[in-house]
Amino acid sequence: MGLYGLMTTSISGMSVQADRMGTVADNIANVNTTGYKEASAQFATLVAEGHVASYVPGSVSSVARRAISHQGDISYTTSPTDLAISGNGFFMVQSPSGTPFLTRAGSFVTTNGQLVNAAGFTLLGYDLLNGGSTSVINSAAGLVPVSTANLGLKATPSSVGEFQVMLPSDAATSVNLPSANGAFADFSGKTSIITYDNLGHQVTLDIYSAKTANNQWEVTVYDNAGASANGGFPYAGGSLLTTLPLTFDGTNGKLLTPANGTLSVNIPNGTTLSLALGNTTQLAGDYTPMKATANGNGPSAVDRFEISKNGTVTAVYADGSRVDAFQVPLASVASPDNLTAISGNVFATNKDSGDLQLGKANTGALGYIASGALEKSSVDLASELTTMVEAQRSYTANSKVFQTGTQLLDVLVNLVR
Amino acid sequence: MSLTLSIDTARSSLATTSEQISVVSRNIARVGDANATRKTAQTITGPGVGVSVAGIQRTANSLLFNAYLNSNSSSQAQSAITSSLDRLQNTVDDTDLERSPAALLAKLSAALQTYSGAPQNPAVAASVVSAAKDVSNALNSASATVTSVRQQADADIGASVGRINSLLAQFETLNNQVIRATSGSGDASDVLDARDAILKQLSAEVGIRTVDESNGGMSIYTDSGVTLFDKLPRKVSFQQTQNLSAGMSGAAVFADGVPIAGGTHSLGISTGKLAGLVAVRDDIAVTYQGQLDEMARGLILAFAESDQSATPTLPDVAGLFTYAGGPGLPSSSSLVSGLAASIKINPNADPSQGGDAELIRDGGISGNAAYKYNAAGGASFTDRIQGLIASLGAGQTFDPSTQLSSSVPLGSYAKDSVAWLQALRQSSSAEAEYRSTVASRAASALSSQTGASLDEEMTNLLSLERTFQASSRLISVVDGMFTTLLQSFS
Repeated sequence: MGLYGLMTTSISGMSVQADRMGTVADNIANVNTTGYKEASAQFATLVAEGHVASYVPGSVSSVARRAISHQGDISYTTSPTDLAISGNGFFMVQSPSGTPFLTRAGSFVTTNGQLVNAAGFTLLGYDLLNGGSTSVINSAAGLVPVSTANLGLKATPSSVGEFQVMLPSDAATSVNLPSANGAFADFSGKTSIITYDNLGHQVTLDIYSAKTANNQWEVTVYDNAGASANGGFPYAGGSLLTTLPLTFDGTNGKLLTPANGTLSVNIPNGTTLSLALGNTTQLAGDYTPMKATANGNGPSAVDRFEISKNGTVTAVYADGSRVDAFQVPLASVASPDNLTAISGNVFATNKDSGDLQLGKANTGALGYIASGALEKSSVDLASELTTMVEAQRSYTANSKVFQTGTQLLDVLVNLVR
Repeated sequence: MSLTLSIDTARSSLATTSEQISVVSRNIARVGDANATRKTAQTITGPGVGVSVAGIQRTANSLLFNAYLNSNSSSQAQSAITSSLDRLQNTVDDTDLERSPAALLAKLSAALQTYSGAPQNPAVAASVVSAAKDVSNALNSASATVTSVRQQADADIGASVGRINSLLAQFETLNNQVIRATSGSGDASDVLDARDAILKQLSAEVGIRTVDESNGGMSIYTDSGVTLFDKLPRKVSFQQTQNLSAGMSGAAVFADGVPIAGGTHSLGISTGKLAGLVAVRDDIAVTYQGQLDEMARGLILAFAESDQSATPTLPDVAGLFTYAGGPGLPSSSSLVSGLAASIKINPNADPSQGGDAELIRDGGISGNAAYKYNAAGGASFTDRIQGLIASLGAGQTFDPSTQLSSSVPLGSYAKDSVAWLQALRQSSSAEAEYRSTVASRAASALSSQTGASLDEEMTNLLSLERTFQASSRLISVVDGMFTTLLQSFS
């Protein structure tokens, strides 16, 4: 028994070292794979139940481990859709067949409007537009592929804006007020701003400021579409959008009424635009627009995606306007090292790893998302090479034990002659 | 730290250094470009290893830039005025040449004096006529010059408006590029330079104020607060006048539906070439034209003839000097536009047109015997000549809108006009020189603050080169270590 025992023991020693060499080979092969997590082999003894009087050799078995929670180095790239996670968490991706997986490999490129990584997995997120999607904290329900497909051309009607001017306190009092829409209206200033209606048409608002009395002004808004041939008075009927009297404090030039300082304009075929007048003043000097602008944009196509630290995917339109379109969650599990590794650098949950927990990046224990960076493989080449030397030596030693055992058997067999 | 990490760090350092060197090379390439600003690559150490370039920053100084825009606008306005005044100056010429209306008037009264000493000499009479002709020709040509100066100013306004519109269209393109680059991680610095270059050109045409938007865009307003650009360029329109004769006013320049120059406007711009041209067209040239018209009116009135019958019933008529509206007299105290252009010698007194020069002595130039002063026909009759000399030297009432003293003799009025023009030209050219000095100071201050300097860039280049060498060295050291490790297997 003893001799055979030591031979089987040394065979098991050789086979676990071969396993270990397998992990080294895998690690070295994937030394430059984005998001790869190093595998290692751990050994456990199997001790034979023996008698006190005699020693019965046991054997050794190997357990494969993957250091999934081991953070790889983050290195910079030039593509803004390359994503890396600094800290805990996984991206939720789906395979071409639609099964959700976890991954740290964030080398995404826009393919057919979706963000697909090198292994062909599509990034998932919550839709923030179109009513948003319901997020379930412990399952992949409600996640949709991050895609430009449903962002199409989009127009945003103007809803808020600012109109802040410095009105000349020494101006002459207006004889023909702009609000009367006479051909010879006189005023102290005119500023036009571009707004957008519901369909994205440009609506130019002509804003006239005229002095009605000391410290009393009138702001009148016309729709430029009804302007006369040379672009001014008289406007066509129905062009007058609103008019608002303003009162200023004669001592410091600040706006007294309306106290909230808002000018509401109903854009034709659009929404109500609230122009903040708060910082409009009346001082000596020329009519000076400080800020005259409104939000909104005409129809334009999505130019590209940008991803913030907390996973908000912003669609940047060709005209520079930005809309938060998706929220990319990060997934975490109770025991990430026990996740099942699947081809393509992705992981699946199992009984040992615990269930999914989805959350917002950069909150709680979850890491943040770095855009324009990739997490490199966590393999350290130097340590793999040293492991290889170690495994080689152990394997040789085991083979020597086996060789010695066979020689001893030879001796035993030769006794019979 | 592992060896792989060291290599990564060194690699990111190489990439960053390359980027920085490319920025340095851009700076050096555009070192002579007045519109180029110095760029610097901003490096950050982020999560993970090494460094990366966060963006390209551009050295800008909005205070100096705006100061340059303002000084450029006012310098251009003044130089437009000065160059027009130089042309008007040609009408009074060199005082030595004595071709100005004032000098010729003096010659005319001298010729009359001579004639009063020799009234029987037809040759002297002819010399009076030719002196009178010189005066009327001088007034005609001065008036033509003023008209052409105004016409030219009007055409220049049209060209300036065209330039403003095309600059605003270019600005729109660049502004959209800036917004796009600012909203992303793009490099907006070169586009911003180009956009600023457009603003510089625009400020030459019209005084502007700019307001930055939060998205990187910019709005442009005239110095009088009228919108020129906000998301989109506003239309600047102007109708050129084909024939700007005296007394006609040119059209106004409209921006965003509001008159900003010329016409009756409450929102007139104060600087920029446009403002200067409009001031020439509607103010300076008009005033000078008025002075010429007043001289012509004074001449016609001074040489007017009155009814010499025993009981005068006829109205006074134009004598030696007449005009398109003759023989009736023009208004006695207020400006009549276009007189200087149409004043001429009455052909009846002009020997070259078959007339008789001696009618100056006798009167009745207008062709009606009732106006004959020398009824007896005496060859040595001097009363009329003396009367002409007296009325030339007598005070006349001139229209106060011409900005000269309103009751002086014609000769003094003509001299005052010359003095007014000279003084205006002198002060204007001094002002133009001062403003252009201020503008070039502002330009050089701006360029020294924001432009790339060669020595600074070369210094940066040296240190970048060292960084690059050090990182490369690090990579080769790690490579050597791996080589050592791999050799242990053989």
